[in-house]
Amino acid sequence: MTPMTQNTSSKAKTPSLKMMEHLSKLSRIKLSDEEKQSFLSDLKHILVFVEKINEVDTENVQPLYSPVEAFTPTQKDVAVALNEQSMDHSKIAENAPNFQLGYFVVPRVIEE
Amino acid sequence: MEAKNLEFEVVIGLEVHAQLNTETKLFCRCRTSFGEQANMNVCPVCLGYPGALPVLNEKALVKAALLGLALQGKVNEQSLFERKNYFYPDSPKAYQISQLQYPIVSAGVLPIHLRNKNGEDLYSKEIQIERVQLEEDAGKLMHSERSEVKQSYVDLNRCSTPLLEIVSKPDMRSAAEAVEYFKSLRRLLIYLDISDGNMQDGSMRCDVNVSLRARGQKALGTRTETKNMNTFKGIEEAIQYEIVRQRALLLSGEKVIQETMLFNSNTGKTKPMRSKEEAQDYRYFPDPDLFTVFFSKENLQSLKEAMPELPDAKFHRYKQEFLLSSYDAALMSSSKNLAGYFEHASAEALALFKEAKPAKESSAAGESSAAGESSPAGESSPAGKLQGPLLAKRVCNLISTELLSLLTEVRLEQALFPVPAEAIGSMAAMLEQGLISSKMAKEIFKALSETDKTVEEIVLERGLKLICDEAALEAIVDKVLADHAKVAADFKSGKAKAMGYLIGQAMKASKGQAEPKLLSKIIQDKLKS
Ligand SMILES: [Zn+2]
Repeated sequence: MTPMTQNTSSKAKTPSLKMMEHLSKLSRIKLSDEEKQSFLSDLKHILVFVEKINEVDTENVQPLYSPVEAFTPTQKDVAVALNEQSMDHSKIAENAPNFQLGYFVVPRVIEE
Repeated sequence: MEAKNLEFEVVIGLEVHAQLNTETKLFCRCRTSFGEQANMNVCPVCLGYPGALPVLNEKALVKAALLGLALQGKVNEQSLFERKNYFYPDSPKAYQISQLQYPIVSAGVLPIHLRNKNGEDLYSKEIQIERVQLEEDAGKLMHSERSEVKQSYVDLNRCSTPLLEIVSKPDMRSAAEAVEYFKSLRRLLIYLDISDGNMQDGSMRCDVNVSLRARGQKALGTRTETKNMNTFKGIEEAIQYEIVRQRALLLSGEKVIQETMLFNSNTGKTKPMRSKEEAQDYRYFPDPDLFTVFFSKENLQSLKEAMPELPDAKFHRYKQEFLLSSYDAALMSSSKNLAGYFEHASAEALALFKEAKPAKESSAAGESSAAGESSPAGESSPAGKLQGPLLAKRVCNLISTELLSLLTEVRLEQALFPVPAEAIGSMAAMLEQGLISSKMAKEIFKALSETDKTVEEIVLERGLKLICDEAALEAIVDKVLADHAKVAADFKSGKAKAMGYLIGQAMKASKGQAEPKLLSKIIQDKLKS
């Protein structure tokens, strides 16, 4: 397979406080200033560890996307009867923070 | 109105999203149907419950490959699903399964034909397709009209229904080209039964990328992306507005900012989306729940062999085989059902015409053909080659003047024709044989659409037949010439206009049933003798 998009930089950026803030925002995890510092130091260590991998010459090696040597299975386009799915609304409600009148209720979001 | 852009060239690319008309979702066997009660078509997979595993819908894969073939594209034997990560309440997994590095189709081409308002050809061009990828749709958010309601409501019925994203190269140079491209792509998707192409329901929508560059400049200018357009008019207006806006910025020495816009159809303006101000960072990576997708060369070959004739091929064939004008050919090939109807009626017309011919050759109405051919003949003679086209043109005329006004788009989609194709064929043959007039055809058509009677029954019942009998017509003409002896004398003394009057009177005397060509020939002969 030839990729249509190239991974432009294999060289990782050095983690910074700003990057921690960006990551915290992307993953919707609020970090205190102390936590940011502590995670930053962890992340730096992890990256040094991962950098090791870059020492291996992978010039002519095809990327491996899964250790399982199989193609993804497919299913026929046939609906499963509603009762077999057994996702009635009482069950959904048990697993949702706020489920009312058949809808998941979330803080107001609107794209504008 | 196209904005004048003497100094700038407009560059447009489209990303079209089309919902596949499969029965089930892309990665689970929940139904895709719309209009149901909220959150009824959901299961642990599409709700993103931990541990639930996606399984690819075989049909969705086949439909994606089919579109790739139709776009003369490269359908990849292996492709890959990746996760596009983002947090938004419409996506319970917090990622969309999509394709990035290895889409199912890479490269392709879609020809478009631009016409003016009168349907005359302006020019044709090919729009290159960059890629076609399979991905899952998101759920639907509902907001209260009242802004003090601090909650939104989420319906995940649509979540994980299959979409094709079709990305064009920035090959379009005007709003008109962009709209034509979108229409052609939609037609193709409907033809191939890949999508229902329903724009009101959002089954088809597109993001429009617009940029300007100085004429002659190679490098592309900075583009903006206007999201989620689902009307032809909206696409057109949003592009026009962006052209004017960007042009004004560039002329005043300012820069266009690369940003995501929303189009407001009430104001006709675009404006930046606030929620997209933060630079997007989707952190794509291959989805570990799915392995590489495989679509064998054998499967591709059998798809290729079963490929129906595509709208563009039909368009060209109608022009060549039936000598239809571009306008007519485009109209007749505009929908699969209409094209089928047209072809069926034309074949019927030709069969009936050939059947009736031996008896007809001796008849006096031999010169009725529209192109002025001396006498219609079988396929063996050179003139016979024209018979198919003449009949097809008559069928096309009946369809466009009578049938289409009775046909809504919905009825057309369901092939609910008010009049059977055979009846149109039969009327076309009778018109060509000079057995009925176009006025009679109108009446027959109306009766056909209102009753269950056949053409023959209506013709017999109402006496809708042209008089082709020479003796009968001569008798009528003789009486008219006698009754209007002065007008006849006027003609003889050089008043050419008098002829029209006499023909009119004779036609009236025949109650509109005289075969017009034969009638005027008889009058002319009599006046000149
Ligand atoms: Zn599901």
